[in-house]
Amino acid sequence: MPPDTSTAERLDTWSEAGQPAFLRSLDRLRINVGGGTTLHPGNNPVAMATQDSGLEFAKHRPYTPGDDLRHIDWNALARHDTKLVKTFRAEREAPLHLLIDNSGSMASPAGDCKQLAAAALAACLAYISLRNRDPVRVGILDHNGARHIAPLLRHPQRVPLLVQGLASTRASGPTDLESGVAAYLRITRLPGVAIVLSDFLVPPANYQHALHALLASGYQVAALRLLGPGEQNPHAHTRRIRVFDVESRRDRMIDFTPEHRARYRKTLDEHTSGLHSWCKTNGIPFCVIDTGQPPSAAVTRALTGAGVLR
Amino acid sequence: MGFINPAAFLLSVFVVGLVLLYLWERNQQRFDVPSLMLWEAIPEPVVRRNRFQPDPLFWLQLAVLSALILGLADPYFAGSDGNNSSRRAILVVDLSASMQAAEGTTTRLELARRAAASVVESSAVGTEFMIVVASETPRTTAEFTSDTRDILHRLDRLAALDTAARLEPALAIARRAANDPERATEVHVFTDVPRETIDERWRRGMYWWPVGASDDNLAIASVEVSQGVLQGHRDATALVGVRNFSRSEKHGALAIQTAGHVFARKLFTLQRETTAYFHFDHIPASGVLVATLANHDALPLDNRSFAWVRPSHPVRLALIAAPSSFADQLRRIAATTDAIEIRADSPTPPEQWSGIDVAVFHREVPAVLPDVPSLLIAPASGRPVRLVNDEGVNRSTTTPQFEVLDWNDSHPTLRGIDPRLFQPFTNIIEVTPPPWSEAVLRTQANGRDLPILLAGEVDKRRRAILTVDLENMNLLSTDRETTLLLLLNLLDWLSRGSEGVRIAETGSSIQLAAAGQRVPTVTAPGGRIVELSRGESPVLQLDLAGLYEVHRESGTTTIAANFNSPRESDIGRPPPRPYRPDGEVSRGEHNTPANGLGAWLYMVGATLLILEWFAAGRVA
Repeated sequence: MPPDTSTAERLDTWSEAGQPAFLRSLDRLRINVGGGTTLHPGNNPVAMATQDSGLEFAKHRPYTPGDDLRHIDWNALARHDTKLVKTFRAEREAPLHLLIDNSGSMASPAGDCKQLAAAALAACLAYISLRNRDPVRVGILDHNGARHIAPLLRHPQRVPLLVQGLASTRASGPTDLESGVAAYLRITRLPGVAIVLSDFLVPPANYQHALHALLASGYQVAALRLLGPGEQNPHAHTRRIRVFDVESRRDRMIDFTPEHRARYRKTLDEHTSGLHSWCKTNGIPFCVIDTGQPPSAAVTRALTGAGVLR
Repeated sequence: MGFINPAAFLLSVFVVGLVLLYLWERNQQRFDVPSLMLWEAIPEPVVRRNRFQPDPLFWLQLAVLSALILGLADPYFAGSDGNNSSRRAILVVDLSASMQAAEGTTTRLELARRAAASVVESSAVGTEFMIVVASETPRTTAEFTSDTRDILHRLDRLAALDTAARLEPALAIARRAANDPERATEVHVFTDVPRETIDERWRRGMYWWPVGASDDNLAIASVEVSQGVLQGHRDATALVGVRNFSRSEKHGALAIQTAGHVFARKLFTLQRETTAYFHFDHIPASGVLVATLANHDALPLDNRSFAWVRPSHPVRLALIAAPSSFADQLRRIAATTDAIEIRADSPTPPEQWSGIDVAVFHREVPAVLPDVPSLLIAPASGRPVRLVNDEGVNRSTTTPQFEVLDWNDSHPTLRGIDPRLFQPFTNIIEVTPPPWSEAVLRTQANGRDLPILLAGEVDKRRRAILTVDLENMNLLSTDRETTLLLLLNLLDWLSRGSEGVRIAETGSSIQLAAAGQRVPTVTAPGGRIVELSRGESPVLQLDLAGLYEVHRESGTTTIAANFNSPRESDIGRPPPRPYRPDGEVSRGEHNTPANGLGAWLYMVGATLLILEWFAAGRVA
C-alpha cells in the first residue's frame, strides 16, 4: 500500500500534533486505561472504593468500635436506633506513565517519523491526563536504560516543556524494553497507568517480560505499536539490496523480489498480530498507530477504538 | 571502415572505471531497516556478493561513454560514392630552410610530415598519392601510387635543404597533376608559409596545413672581408652583420675564427627586428674566416657564415720589355711597395724562371710561353686597331678613343673596379683570342667586338693578354687610376694560381672546370659524397651550407656555401590555422573525411546523457 502522505507532510502534521492548537481539540477525552489505585489522594473517584471522608456520599456501613464518631450518621441513629457510619466515594490520583522507546529503530525508516509520532502522542496523552488532574511522568527507554524528563507534571501548561524535552532526544542504540522498563520501575514507585509507545521490534520474550513487569508492579498497561508506511511497504530501486540493521549494525543481502516482499509483509503482520494477541490475553489494550495517517485519526479513532481513550 | 583517431580507444579504460564505480556504489547502497528480525525469513542469495549484475541505469551510462569514445575515434566509411580507386591526393611539402626551424621539441618539417602522414592514413582505401617537394628546384619525388607504405616511407626520408624556396612552382606542378576530369584529386600543402601570402591563382582549391609559429632567430646577415689588392691578412678587415629576426630583445655572442682558432669574440644585445654590424681587424691568419653565433635559437642554420682571407706574399716579377715609359713606371711602382718585386728586368726572357711568380711581356711575344703565369701587354703579334669608315678608309686623323663597353664583372681581375670609370684607350692591339681565354673587358670598333683584356688558364698556368698599349700612359695619374688597379689586380690574380676558397650562397650552382677523363667527386657538408655528371663542365648544386671539397686530378679545391636568405631567416609566423577549400577553418591537424561519423556520435552521446539524467532522477 503506498504511503498516504509524503515524509515532509508527515513531519509537518505530527509536529503540529504537539502544539496547543491541536491539544485543545482533545479536551473532551479521558484516559480509559484502568483506574488509579494509588494511595495518594486525588481528585479522581475510584469506582467501587470508599473512604471515610470525602465529598461524595457513597454508602453506610455498620459502626465498629474505633470508628471516628464524627462519621456516625446521627439521623439514622435517631430514626432507626442503629449505629451506622457514612462512607464516601474514594478519590485517588492516577498518574500516567508514558514509556517512550527511544532506540535506533524508532528513527528507521527515516521517512516514517516514528519518533516524532511517539513524542506527539505522548504530548496528547499527557495533556489529556493533566486536564483530568492526573499527573504525568515520562520515561525515555534507550540503550542507557531509562531516563525520565521530570518527576511529575501536574498542569497542562507543562505540556510544552514535555514537548521541548522530547524534541531534544535522539533515537539511537539497540532496543531493550525489558531492561528499560526494569530500570524505570526502580526509579519510580508510583503505580498508575503505563502506556508504552514503541515499535516493539524485539523478540517477543523481551516485550512480554517488560509488560509483565509493569503489570506485576500494579500498573494498568497499554501498548501502542508505531508503524510507518516505509516499514509496511519497503521500496528499493535496485533488485539486489543490502539491508542494514541500524541498531545491531549488521547487514544482509536481499534479492528484493515481489515474493520476498510478500514474505516480509507476512513476517511483519505475524509479529504485529502476535503482539496484539498477547496483549489481549493479558488484558493490555493494544493499538497500532499508523504514522502515515494524520494525528487526529490516531488519537480520535485508533486510540479510542482500542479503548485507550474515551 | 576506418578511424581517424584510433588512439581514442585508449579511453576505454574508463569503462573499467565505470564498472568499479558501479560495484563500489552498489556496495555502498544500503537499505536501512529498523530491525533485521523481520528480514531473516528471506534467504540470502547464493551468489558472491560482489558479482557484477548491472542495472539498466548502468547500461545507459555505458552507452553514453561508448558513444563519446567512438565519437572521439571518429569512424568513417571509405568512399561516399563507393568508388575508392577514383580518388587521388597530391602532397606538396615545403623543404625550404625555414622548415628546419625548431618548434618545441620537434621541427616544422616533422610537423608537416606528421600532418601529411595523417592525411595518408585517414584517406579512403585505394587513394593514390603523389609527393611534390618545394625547394630551390621543385620536383616530384613520388608519382601517383596507392602504396601507402611507400608514400609514408618517402615522407620519412624527406629532408629540408639549406636553401630558400618558392612555393608557387611546386603548386603549379601539383595543379597540373590534379587537372584530371576523370578523377577527384585533392591537393594538400604542408608548409610554414601563410596561405594569404601566396597568390590566389596558385592556392585556389587547395588544403593548407600551416606549421610553425616561433620567431626565435638570430642570424648572421653578412660577412665581408675587405682586403686590398696585394694586401695580406694583417691589413684585412672583416665586417659581420647580425640581425635579430624575433619580436623580442635577444642577447648573443659572436665569435670570429681563422685557421681553427677564435681570435675575437663580442657579446651583444639586439632589439627586436634590428641589425648590428661588428668590425674586426688584426686578423691573425689567412684562410677561411668563420663567423659563428654562439646562441641557441630556432634556426641554427644561419648562425654561421664563411669568408676568405687571402694569403699574402710579394709578387716576384720578371719584366721582359724594351726600355719604355711603361717599364719605367712599373719599376717605380715596384719600388714604392713591398708587394711587388722585380726579380728579372731584361728585354729578353731569362733562361730559368725559378723564383718568378709572374712574367710580364710588354710588346713582346715569347716563342714559348714560360712555365710561370704570364701577362702579355700589347703583344707585338697583334695589329694596331684603326678606326675606318664604311669604305675601310681611315676616317679620322684624331687619336681614336676606345671605351670599355662590356665586361665580365664576376671575374676576379675586376674585383674592386668599376669598369665604367675607365678612361677611353687610344691604342688597342687587335689579337685573335686564344682558345683558352675569355674576354674580361671589351670595346667596339668598326662594327666589331674587340677584347681589351683576355684571361684564362693554360697548362695549369694563368695567362692574360692586355690589348691596351700602356706606353705613354701615365698610370700614376688620377685619370688612369682604374687602369692601374686593373694592372695590380692582374698581377695579383696571375700570381695566386688559384682562388683559394670560393665563397658562394646556398641555392646557387657552380660550374666546375673541365673534368677531364675522371669525373670529379665532391664531399658535401656532413661528409656525403656527391657524384657529378660527366661532361666538360659539370655543375655542382649547393643545397647545403658549409664547406664542399671538390676532388680533381689536379688537386682539391674548397667551396664555402653560406646560407643568406632574410626571407627564410625571418621564421616568425602567425598562429597556424589549417584551411579547407570549402572555406571552413578546422582546428584539428587531421583531414577529416567528409563522411566521418564523429559529430553524429557526439549527438547520440549527448542525447543518451540527457536520458540518463532523467532516468537517474526518477530512480532517486
